Amino acid sequence: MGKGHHRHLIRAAILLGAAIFLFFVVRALLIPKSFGLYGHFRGENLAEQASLPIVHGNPNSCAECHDDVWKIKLAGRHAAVPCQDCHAPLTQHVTEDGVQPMPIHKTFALCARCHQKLEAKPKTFPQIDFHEHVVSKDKNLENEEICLSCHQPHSPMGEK
Amino acid sequence: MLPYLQYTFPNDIHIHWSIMIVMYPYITGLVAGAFIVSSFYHVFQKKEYQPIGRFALLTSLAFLLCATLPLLNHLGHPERALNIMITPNFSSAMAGFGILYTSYLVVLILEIWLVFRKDIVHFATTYKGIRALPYRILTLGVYDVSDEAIKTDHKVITILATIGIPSACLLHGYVGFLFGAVKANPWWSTPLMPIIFLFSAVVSGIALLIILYQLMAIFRGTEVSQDCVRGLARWLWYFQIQTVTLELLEIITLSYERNEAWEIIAPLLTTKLAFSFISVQMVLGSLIPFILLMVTVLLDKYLHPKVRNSLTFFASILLLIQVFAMRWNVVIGGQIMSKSLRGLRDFHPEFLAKEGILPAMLIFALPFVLLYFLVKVLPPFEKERQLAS
Ligand code: HEC
Ligand code: HEC
Ligand code: HEC
Ligand code: HEC
Repeated sequence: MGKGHHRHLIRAAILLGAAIFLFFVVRALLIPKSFGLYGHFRGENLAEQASLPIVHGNPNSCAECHDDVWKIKLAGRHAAVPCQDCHAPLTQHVTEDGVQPMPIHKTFALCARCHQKLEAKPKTFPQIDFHEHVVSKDKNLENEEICLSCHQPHSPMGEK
Repeated sequence: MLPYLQYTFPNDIHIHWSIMIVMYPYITGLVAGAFIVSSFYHVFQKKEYQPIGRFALLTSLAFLLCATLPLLNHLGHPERALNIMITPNFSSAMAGFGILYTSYLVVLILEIWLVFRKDIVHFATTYKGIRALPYRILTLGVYDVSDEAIKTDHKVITILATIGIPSACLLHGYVGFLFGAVKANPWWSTPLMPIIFLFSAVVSGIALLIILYQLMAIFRGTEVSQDCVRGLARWLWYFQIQTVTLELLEIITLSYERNEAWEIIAPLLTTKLAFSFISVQMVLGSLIPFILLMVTVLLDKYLHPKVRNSLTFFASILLLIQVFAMRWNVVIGGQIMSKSLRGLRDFHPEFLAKEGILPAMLIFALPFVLLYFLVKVLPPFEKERQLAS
């Protein structure tokens, strides 16, 4: 192997070295300052998350003003289902400017979110095939609020 | 269809890893497979594979450059993909991606550069003006193609190609590892997974090259080297047998062990995956090519070249489908089982959605377009003719 016959290899090696060097320079510039402060993430992110406005209220925050509904719910099969899951977050309802209207979803889409029959759910969880459940009871699924005609949402197995 | 809006109950309805995640191992598999074929010539010095040695390298590059596209399309924030390179978190297997991908890319580009250096210098000196410019840049200013220089190149090529084999295997084996290491999913979690992925990658790589080589020969009006096709058919048969054996072994083990996972895997294979697993992967994609290749290999001396070409070509197409079906059955199949392993879900790919069938086809077409241009810039077949002029 004569001397000087691998000039191209040396140039390629220099180029590769330069690319690797460049990568580390760019990397140093791109890594956020607070990265790795507490762990494998941007340290500042903790403060950012902590300063986000609170949206949901405490699960029993509704009890204060809606004692009647609260008691009904506690006594029924939906005792464990948070009010805000079916309505909307507290801050949307109770604001500094007073009480704003709270949404009420009445269609079976609300109930479907949790009760639609799905193989993935534990067998012990109450789930229904909507069509079968409603039609077998001589009712019409066209009526979107059909569930409420038999079930009280705050106490679904209680007296309506 | 009732809307499922919020997240209050773990409804486990959506299959998150879509066709894009099927495309990704498929494309990286072709990368690794094509590279292995190129090494038949560049490392193992098997002369019969010389006609496709250089072409296989370009194929590997074309697919490698597109390998990340399905992932980027899948990500909601593709620009964050770079984080895996900048701040890799080594407690996650995904962190390996940046290192494996780039190191293989570097090895591959260097090898291609050296393999084509003589041609690059040739074009840089014979072409005029703007056409010569890219080649001039590629020479890095060194026009030395003396015998000594070429000899040195050959040594380095052998070293690079030798490093390239484990790199390509790692790049793809790693993809299998990602699935094999998901211990919560019994359909994925097996140490066999990287090996199955690798073997099927080699199958798909050889199959792709058999197809492309024959098509190129038709378009260029040249002869298909029978030694090359004969050799490739042998390897294809060999790797196919290995792959299918491993795939079956995994299932036989699961079935024989009869542990709780089988309760869900058995219905998975016989209902939701009945078509893609039994019909496509096992019968159409494994049994039929097995027979076709058996004929090609065992009855070799009775075969007319045209028959040999057609048999290998057809077997290759079926095997490309087989490997795709295998990726599909792994990626989608593993998610059709609900995460609770209580039952099976449905997967209905859309055609036009962001991660639908059309984007998948476009992404798969791209490496072929790229390969077309690569072949224009660095003609892999015309070595003899070009250098004689
Ligand atoms: C500060 C007291 C207060 C709290 C706390 C409060 N509400 Fe109310 N809510 C009211 C008042 C007052 C009304 C009646 C407003 C009206 O009729 O316009 C009301 C009305 C509603 C209505 C609509 C009733 C209707 O007939 O239109 C719903 C639903 C409701 N609240 C749900 C909730 C839920 C769920 C929570 C807990 C997240 C909650 N509220 C917390 C005071 C409160
Ligand atoms: C399972 C879902 C669900 C939960 C949980 C739920 N609600 Fe309701 N809520 C409804 C529906 C549906 C209606 C409409 C009932 C109707 O029109 O017959 C409603 C109506 C209301 C109303 C107005 C009419 C009425 O029945 O008094 C108030 C106030 C209300 N909810 C408050 C609450 C509070 C407070 C809680 C928590 C203690 C709560 N809800 C929990 C579904 C729910
Ligand atoms: C956020 C999820 C959620 C939504 C929305 C919801 N439910 Fe429920 N539901 C539950 C849970 C949780 C239980 C209690 C299961 C248990 O305790 O085993 C339950 C229990 C019930 C039961 C009693 C079943 C039994 O066998 O005791 C009925 C009936 C019922 N829900 C009807 C409804 C109807 C009607 C709606 C729509 C208005 C609805 N649910 C909306 C979560 C939900
Ligand atoms: C005609 C009255 C009627 C209507 C309409 C109706 N239900 Fe029911 N539902 C019942 C009765 C009665 C039961 C008690 C068990 C049974 O008979 O199936 C029940 C039981 C249930 C259960 C518990 C099933 C179990 O296996 O524990 C759920 C969940 C439920 N209903 C949800 C709904 C939802 C959601 C709708 C709206 C699509 C709805 N129901 C509409 C009468 C009704």
